[in-house]
Amino acid sequence: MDPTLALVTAALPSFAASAVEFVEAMTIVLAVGVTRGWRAPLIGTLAALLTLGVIIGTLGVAIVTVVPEALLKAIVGVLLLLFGLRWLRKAILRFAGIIAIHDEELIYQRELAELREQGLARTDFDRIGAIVAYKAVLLEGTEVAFIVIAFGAAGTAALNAAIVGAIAAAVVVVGIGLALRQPLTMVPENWLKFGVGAMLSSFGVFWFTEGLGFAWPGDALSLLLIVGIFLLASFASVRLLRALLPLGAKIEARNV
Amino acid sequence: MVEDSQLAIGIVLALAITWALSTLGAGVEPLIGWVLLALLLAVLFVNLIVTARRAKRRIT
Repeated sequence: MDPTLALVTAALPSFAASAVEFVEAMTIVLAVGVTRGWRAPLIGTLAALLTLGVIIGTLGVAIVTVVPEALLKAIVGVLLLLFGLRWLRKAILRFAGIIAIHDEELIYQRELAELREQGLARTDFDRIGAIVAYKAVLLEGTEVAFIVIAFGAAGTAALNAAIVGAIAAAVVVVGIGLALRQPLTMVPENWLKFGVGAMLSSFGVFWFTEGLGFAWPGDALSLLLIVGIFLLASFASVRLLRALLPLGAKIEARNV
Repeated sequence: MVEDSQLAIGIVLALAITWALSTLGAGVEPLIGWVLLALLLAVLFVNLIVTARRAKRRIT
């Protein structure tokens, strides 16, 4: 694969999508660290990374080596669509004001309050802090692994580019998070989710069709057109929903 | 949550229809990807409208 194409279709989308997941995990780990000390959440984070390594090393390699390529593409396509369209739907509903905008500061404050309410255990090791960090990092890390596999499904060059993108996102997000010791509220998470939702869905359409044995005109370049169509349709949907529900975010029925 | 599940069911149905079309033969080959894209956009669009209408009913 051409390096520029690998950058556009694998590294950059992987960077953006992974950054969203790292921001979410970072918010939780920061909240635990600030309220309960850093030892337990760091151990929880390391344990989650180890678990993730074992899952990817065994299940991931087994799937890639055992499942035929066409079937693997179709499976990746299905998962991407189930995952990506859900993101896109939520992002559209958020921009239309029907559900609350994802607020990292609010989530951070809520997490702080909950952790303070639980109090510090008078034991040598803070199990609650470690478990909360473990769960957050494992969940978001699994999503990152999935994102890397999805954007890297085109082959070795694409996979390497997707891995580089995810690692770069981790370095940037964790670096900024550690420097600021605050949730990364300046990351335009909803915009990222909007764009990444459209990209994941587009890759899903692309891979599922390829998995069925049909080639796209222009191969991976057709992804740009598919992403464009998803984005246009999504912006049109936001406008339509705003017209349908002009009260938008003021409505109480937000939990949809 | 309900709308989320309905979206998942809609996606699976769109994929199943696309797969069924793909077995029809060479004539549909160039259209398969675009048919899937159109079906998915329709599923998303209907889901959004249903969600908005339900939200509207809750406040009126």
